[in-house]
Amino acid sequence: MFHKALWMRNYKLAASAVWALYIVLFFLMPFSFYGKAASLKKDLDQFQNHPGDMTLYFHFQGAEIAVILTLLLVGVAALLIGQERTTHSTDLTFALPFSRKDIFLSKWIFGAAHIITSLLVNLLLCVLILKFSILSDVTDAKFLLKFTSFVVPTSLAIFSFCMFIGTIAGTMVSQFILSLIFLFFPIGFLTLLGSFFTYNGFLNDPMHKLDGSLNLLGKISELITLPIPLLQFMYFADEQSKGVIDHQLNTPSMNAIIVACVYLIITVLAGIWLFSRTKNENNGKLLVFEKGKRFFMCGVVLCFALLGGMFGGEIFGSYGEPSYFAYYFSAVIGGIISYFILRKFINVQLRLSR
Amino acid sequence: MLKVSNVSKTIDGKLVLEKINLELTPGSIAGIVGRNGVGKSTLLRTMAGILDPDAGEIYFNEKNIHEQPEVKQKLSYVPDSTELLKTYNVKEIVKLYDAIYENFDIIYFYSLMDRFKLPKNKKLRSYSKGMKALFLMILSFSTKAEFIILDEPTNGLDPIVKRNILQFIIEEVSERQLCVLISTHHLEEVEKMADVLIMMKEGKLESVTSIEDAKSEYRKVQVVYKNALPESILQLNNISILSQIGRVSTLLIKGNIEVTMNHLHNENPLLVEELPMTLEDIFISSLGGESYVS
Repeated sequence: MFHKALWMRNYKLAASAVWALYIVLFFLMPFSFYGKAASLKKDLDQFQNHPGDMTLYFHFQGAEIAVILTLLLVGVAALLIGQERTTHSTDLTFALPFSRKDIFLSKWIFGAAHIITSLLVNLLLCVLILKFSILSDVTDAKFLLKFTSFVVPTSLAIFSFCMFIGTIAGTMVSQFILSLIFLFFPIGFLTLLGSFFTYNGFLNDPMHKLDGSLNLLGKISELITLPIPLLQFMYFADEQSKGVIDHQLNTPSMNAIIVACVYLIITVLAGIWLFSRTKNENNGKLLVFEKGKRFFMCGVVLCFALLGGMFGGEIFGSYGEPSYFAYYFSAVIGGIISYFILRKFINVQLRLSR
Repeated sequence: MLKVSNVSKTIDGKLVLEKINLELTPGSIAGIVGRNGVGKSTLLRTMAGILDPDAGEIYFNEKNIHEQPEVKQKLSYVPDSTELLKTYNVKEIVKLYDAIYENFDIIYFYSLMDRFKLPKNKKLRSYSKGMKALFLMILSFSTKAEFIILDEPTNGLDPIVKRNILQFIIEEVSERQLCVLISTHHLEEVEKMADVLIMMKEGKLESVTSIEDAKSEYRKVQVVYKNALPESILQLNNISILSQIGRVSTLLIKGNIEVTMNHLHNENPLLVEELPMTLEDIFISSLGGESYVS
């Protein structure tokens, strides 16, 4: 499973994204913590000179790193699989004396090892800064341990999911875009469905109903939309008066960890299965497998029809009233446009570096 | 050594390879020729394990290369693209190949680099197209593979380097008893060096013969008749007209040569002259088909 040669090859493919992962996480975590400590020190000096003028606070939100981390993880996966498909350097990798399972697993292990290392190293630096800076007066590192328990499995799940998309997508760009779309698909599709139900009279008060009858579905879709739990992580420590610190820790449901692990296991296994059956003759196309094309097209047309309806119904509705006609007119337009665009692009084969 | 058994492959709904059967033995050079789009590269990429056949199997030393890819330690494929390793420098590639191939011979590799005067301290990106093609071939032979697949290997090489590299391939095959399969459009190369000629047409193997056998099956003649070519000759289905200038016709006879020659003489020609035959004549006659290039 582990081959030095494949590790070297993977490093060459994804070195830029991997280094970006280390550097960006460094700036978003320890460097940011250091900045917060310096700022707190400055505030503390002021606070001591003018007591009562200001409160000391420290905050950490998952959202600060979740978006960029997600983009980087998609990028690492796209460089590891999609790049080879786009440049047709699969002709090199697949001609080597390694099984396709080993090639896929070596890519996954390479990515996973760097993701875990970059997160743990930077989280450890954060802990050290918390421990040995002024921040230790306001908070301790418990919230970081909690964050680690979410961010590591979630990041691995996002990466594994994008690797799985890479076994279906035929280019680096299509892998990148499809990964982002499908990462947010559960919550996005629920929004489109909510809009459909509203315009068809099933929900008269969408906001209320989404909080009410669709609440459970909404919560499930949030839970299974991988990056969402990271966005929900929040920690605040406010010094209300000297010596009294108010800690607030908002963590996502612990089920998010289970969901991440399930995603990880399923997408790695499915990824191995699909990568072993990959159709390299379709590299450079939007999708690698011919069989899934029709299903994919139906799905995309349906989603764009729903999206068109959602926006069109909103724009062409009169006086804030949902318009049934505008919804369906826009849905048909959205569906037709997406069908023709997709039909044009689905069979186009990019041939770079040939 | 290498056995292709009933291999078929469909791409984009088109049958690109149809029930291909082929067996190659050590110590031989096989040249695979055919018009553009007949499936030569697809066959080579399937042999290298890059593409999966829809039906059939490919065995190397009795082992299925798709099920046991580790047998490719002894099989090396040089693609027609020279851009695959362009982000690497020479040292990185040597390190990579040394890690991949158990028998990769670094000393031999550098001796070949010296022999062909390729710079050693540069990135492949800075090489010319011909240098890249040559480099990939050197790399491939340094793996000490027993079977080497070369897809359009001499594209972009100047005539001197081309001659040297062809000479080098012949030396390697005779010294190490390896087998080299070359796909090329340069028929004179196949004619000079190949033992086996594989002709492909519309996804099928048209013929697999030795160059000598292929040539002995054909005869090229120039004939002049008092008027136009007699109708009885035009109706012979083993004759192809290669060219016709005025009353002078150049014909290629395929099979049944003596009987056909008698037929030509019986029609009272003003001139019947045998011409030296090239592989190109056979190629045009056998694989020419329509005049367009797909």
